[in-house]
Amino acid sequence: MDDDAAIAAVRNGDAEAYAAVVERHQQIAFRTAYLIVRDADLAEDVAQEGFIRAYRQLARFRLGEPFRPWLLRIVNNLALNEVRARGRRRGLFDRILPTREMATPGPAREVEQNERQHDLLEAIGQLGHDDQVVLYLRHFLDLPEREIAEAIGKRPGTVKSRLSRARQRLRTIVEANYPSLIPADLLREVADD
Amino acid sequence: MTSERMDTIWEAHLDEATASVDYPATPDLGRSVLAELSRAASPRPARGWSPRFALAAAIALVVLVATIAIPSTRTAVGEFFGLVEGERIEVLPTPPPGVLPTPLSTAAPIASFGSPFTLAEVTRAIGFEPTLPNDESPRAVYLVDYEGVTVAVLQYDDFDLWQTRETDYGYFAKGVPVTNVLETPQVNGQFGYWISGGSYVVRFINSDGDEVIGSQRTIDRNVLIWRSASNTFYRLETSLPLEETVTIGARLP
Repeated sequence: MDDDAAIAAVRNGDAEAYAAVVERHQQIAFRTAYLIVRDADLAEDVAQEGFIRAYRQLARFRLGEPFRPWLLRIVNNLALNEVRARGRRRGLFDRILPTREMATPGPAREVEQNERQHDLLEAIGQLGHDDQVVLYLRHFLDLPEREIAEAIGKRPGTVKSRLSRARQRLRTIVEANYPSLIPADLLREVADD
Repeated sequence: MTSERMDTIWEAHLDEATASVDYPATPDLGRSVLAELSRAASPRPARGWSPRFALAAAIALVVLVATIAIPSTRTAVGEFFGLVEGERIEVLPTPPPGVLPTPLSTAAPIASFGSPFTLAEVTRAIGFEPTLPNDESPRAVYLVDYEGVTVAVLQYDDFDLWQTRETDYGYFAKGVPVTNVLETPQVNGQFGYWISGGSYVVRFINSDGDEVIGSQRTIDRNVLIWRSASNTFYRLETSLPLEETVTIGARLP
């Protein structure tokens, strides 16, 4: 059953049909929440609440439109509210997975990979919330720009420029504080300049 | 090397670096979501409310019962409870004959309870760029904090525009005399409240049901309140009439 069919069934009184919608989108909803709140239990609560709010607003959802960005807009806002309300602004990465301390010991390459992930998430966490969200949606969750636009309530053209600025700001942070994250080909190109 | 080429390399690097992020296992949400929806649909079990919240609820019930007994306000009460998330309105009962209502305090200027900031600072504080209703920059920008729930207030000549996305952690409670006019206009398809016709009191109630100390104030202008489709809570405080205010509100996403 696709989203439209399931949502139509829910509107006709078959609440159980919503389970199919949840199952289809739970991974991206959970990961979106996780990237923003950086805590698995909290991300589960946020994603669950996102589905519940979406259910309660299904009457407003236009059949034929993609459900995923509509849901993610709700999840994004809930997750950001959670972060702000708890006063967790920037730089709070003690619960990032995998952290340096928590990373499972393994081959050197794996440890290095974990450290790079940690540093990258830490660097992104120093950006403003709007920048963080577009980077998560585009690069971590691989959403196309038109869906990102829907998810953050902006025009596709705005998404493109916002992404570009967010990447630029991230690169500035990385160059200043996380030089190990700078890709070798970029270093080579700069050196050749 | 051109800046464009550096951007392309950086973008490709980000794609590569983010492709292998380890996420915690995705929980099975289907069952818990349906269970929660089913629980919400059935009568709520008794909850351990805090004494203050229980008292507030009891007072609200008394107000509701008293108000429903007054035919002229019956419709208003039915319509106004819970229409906009983050906002609750209590229609105050008419005092008994011969008893004068307690006078409200004078409306205080925003500078007396908010702090002035630049637009950029406010953007950082509330986590999103406040929406401007026109091309003009606001005359002043303030932040109002209710125990961590941060609200931006853009001040223009004709109105103050409040906006926040944090009302999950509390709500604005209004005590509105029956002599005020309460309406439910739509702004971009979203229902809102329009309160006009006299002064009333607003307080901010936190998620424990407690009034945030210092949040009570008197409003002596018209107010349009709604939550947009983008989940932003807006509040336009103005002396303008309803139609003009809705027109301003409709420019906000």
